[in-house]
Amino acid sequence: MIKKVFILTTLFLVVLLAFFVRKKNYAEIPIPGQSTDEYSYSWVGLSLLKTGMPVAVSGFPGYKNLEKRYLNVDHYMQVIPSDPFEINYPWMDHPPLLGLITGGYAYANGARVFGDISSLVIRKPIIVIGSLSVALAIIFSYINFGYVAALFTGLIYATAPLVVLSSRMIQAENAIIPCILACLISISLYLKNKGDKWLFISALIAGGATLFKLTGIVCYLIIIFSLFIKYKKINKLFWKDLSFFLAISLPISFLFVIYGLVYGWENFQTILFSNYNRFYGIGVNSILELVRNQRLTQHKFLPEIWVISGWFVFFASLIKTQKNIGDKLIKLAIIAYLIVYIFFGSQPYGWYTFPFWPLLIIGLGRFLSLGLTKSKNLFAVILMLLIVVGANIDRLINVFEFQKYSQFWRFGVSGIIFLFVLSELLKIKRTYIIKLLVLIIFAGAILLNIKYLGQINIDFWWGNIS
Amino acid sequence: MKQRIRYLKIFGIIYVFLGLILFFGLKYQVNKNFSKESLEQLIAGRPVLMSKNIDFCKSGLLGEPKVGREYIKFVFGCQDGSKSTSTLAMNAFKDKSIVGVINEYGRILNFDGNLSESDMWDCSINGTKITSLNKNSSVLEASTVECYQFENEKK
Repeated sequence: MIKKVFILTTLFLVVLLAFFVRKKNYAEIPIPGQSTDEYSYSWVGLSLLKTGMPVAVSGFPGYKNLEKRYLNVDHYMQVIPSDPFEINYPWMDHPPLLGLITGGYAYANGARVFGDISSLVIRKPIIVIGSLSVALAIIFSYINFGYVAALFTGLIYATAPLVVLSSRMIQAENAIIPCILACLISISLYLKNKGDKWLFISALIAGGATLFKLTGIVCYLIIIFSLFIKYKKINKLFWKDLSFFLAISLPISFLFVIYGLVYGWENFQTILFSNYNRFYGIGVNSILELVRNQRLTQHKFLPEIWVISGWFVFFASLIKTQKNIGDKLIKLAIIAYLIVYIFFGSQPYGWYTFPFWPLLIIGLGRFLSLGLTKSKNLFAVILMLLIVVGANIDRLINVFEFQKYSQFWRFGVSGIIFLFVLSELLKIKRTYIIKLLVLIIFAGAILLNIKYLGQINIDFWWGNIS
Repeated sequence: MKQRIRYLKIFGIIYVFLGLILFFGLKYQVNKNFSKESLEQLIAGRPVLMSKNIDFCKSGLLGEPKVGREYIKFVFGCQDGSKSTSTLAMNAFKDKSIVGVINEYGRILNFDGNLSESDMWDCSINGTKITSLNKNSSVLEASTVECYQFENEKK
């Protein structure tokens, strides 16, 4: 009983930490207006609630109704060079569910015109959704890998600076993330024979995910891959599960078509095909870009060592066959989103890549926890944590400022690696010391995350984030 | 299998209900509440949650529209020497009269009321003072509206 309370309390505290780091300066960083999609999504919701007509900004040709207007929401045009908005209606670029959440929240708080849609109001629901995603990542890890992995995953996903900043942005991907995680939780419970209700729930969530954006179709792929894991071949039972799943999820996705029909089939169809003919901005360099460059917006790069480490673990997982269902699911979920990412193309901007991050971090959390609990790949775990700590220190202080601490690094890190190799070669068992070291370095890395986040204000943003 | 059929039945009933509400509810809402006027109010209505602008000399809008000569420039100067300049694309102005563009500029910067009626500013367009005689004439392309704070005005 005491153990259960302890587990629940610590994991709950991690979710609280996630909420508070997201909440700090949420309306200022990322700078409002650097992605005007944030306003556009919310305008859809507000206009739907006020007039029944979705009105927002689109870059697609094919709209018959166009209004060019300057809208200086949050006074952002006084900070960021801007062109007039090209406002279209009926706006059909994406399904309207995210807009209804953020715009609906703004409406409930007194917003009645587009100028009222300020970041201070509309970002509040998204940071709650971001914290929910952390909770779901913890639950998935706990169900499949146990407490330590859940704690590691939770702490990394709660505090990794790029993830924190990205989860303040009103982008459909931030709503698709909890859907992916909830799908993974329910399907893993279904695979563990916990009953049909979990397949039913995963179908509801998969259908719901596509009402945020069509890339929510990744949830369909995840479930189909999971059924392959269960049955290992296409047999009668597979078809039974798949048809039950599709009988629930497809009609939910079809709600977008019903919604589109309200405003005319022709308009809906034209915009849908415009979506298909989007500029394939991710290019052929997309996979290298994914691993090497992490972005928040088109022009704001913030390399995130936790995500890069997650990619290393993912690539390693491709080499080795996993037995644990959770390991298989995470690997297939990353591959499923990779398929969607490459198929939809669009742009290599930050938000298109957001859904990779929780999955990579779950894999990373699992990898680190295995080092701690089962002494698996301990050298790789320590080396990876040292890379993370080094990168985290580097973004806090520059190389000149670092010189006064260089002796610690020089002797400390080379000493650790030397002693580790020596103990391995001479077969000296020092597992507890090494595990303690893992814990200390991990705790240090998390503290550095939080310290870095504490530094990020408007001046820091313009001066240090390229 | 029985349980699945039960789930499908419950889902089916809720779905049909939701689908009908969505389709007919939205149709009704659009017919009742959407019009050119409501759209204009939605896009260009005065926000109540955004802070009002009190200093035009420090509130220049950034950006240079790529519209050839189809632009209008606003210059605001104050007694303390501060000055702001904004260049905006003409195609984003619905009312292209002198008074219309000045009021639209005031709206963009969230001025409380009609900027053209404010008695704080002495305005001219392309060097010609704006008066009741010319305020309704159309703005020519590449025009510059200059407004300077009256000497007895304090910000």
